[in-house]
Amino acid sequence: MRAAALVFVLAAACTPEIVSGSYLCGPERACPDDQACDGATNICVLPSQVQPFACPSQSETTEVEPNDDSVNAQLVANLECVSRSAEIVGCTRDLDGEDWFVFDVPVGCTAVAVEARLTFPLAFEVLSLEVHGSTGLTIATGGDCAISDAADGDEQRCLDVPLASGSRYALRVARSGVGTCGGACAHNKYTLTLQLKTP
Amino acid sequence: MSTTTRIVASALVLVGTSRVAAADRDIVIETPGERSTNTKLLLAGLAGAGALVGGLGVYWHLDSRTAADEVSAGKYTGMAWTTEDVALADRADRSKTRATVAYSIGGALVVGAVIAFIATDPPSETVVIRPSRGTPTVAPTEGGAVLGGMWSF
Repeated sequence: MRAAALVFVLAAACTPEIVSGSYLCGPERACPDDQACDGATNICVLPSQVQPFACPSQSETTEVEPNDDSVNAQLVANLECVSRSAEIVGCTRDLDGEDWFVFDVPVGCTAVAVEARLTFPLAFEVLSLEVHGSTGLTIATGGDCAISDAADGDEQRCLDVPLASGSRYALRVARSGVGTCGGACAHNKYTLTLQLKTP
Repeated sequence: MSTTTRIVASALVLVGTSRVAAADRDIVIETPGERSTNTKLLLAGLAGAGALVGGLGVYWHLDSRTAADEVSAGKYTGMAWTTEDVALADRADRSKTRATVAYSIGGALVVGAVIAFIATDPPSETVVIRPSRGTPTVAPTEGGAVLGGMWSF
């Protein structure tokens, strides 16, 4: 009888035991078998507990719509040559495919660069980050960050670009069309941080 | 023949008769049977194959458990469910299936070996020796007597 119980225990141990709420959702809402991605928290839970995708609450969101093009871009004000880190919490969903932010580089900076980091859950659509000059041309596109760990459930895009003093620049956060779950997760929330610094 | 001689002869006859009566029981000799070389090879092959396949089952069982332990979680990990985790879970499932199949085949082979061992048990050979009753003979001789006997096997 004991041997039978031992065999049962050994056999049972061969199947992964993953409690609901243990993992963050992977790319395109990937979760362990018999679990599903909760849209509100992007945590893998039992299918019966799944909530639809939700943007951060109004109290958390610092992005202000409409900011869907460079003309209506949201201003990130009061940046100095060596600035504090400004943080914007935003969301892109449905017809809101991109968000724009503008900032001014102060006059008189001897050398200045912008360091921006876009962080978003990898469970939903991949976002892109670009910096545009005053002419509207794309100066740089965000790439992989030097310090980044996708295992923590977030993906990041970074850029570090020298800028001209006394000019206006724009940052564009947009949905990339990658990782949309066939359209079912064509949305995402993000945190954008930027600061000016001496390169 | 003197009286003394007759008495001695009678005593010898009595002693001889009692000895023969003791040897009157059957002598049973049992010789255990021996399996043929082919049977021995068959049994060893079955048992060896069973052990080998069972060993593979243990290997896959442990591999399955290792992979399952790597992704098992009882509380919030703060980690995302990645393709590596999917691969580990798949490996755990695949090895579990292989272990189950190997245990089944290995177990069947070992059981088959045990059944074959019993079924091919050669009968032992029993030889019964029935000593026939000895026939004492007493032949009086001059100054005494000669006691003799005959047995057959």
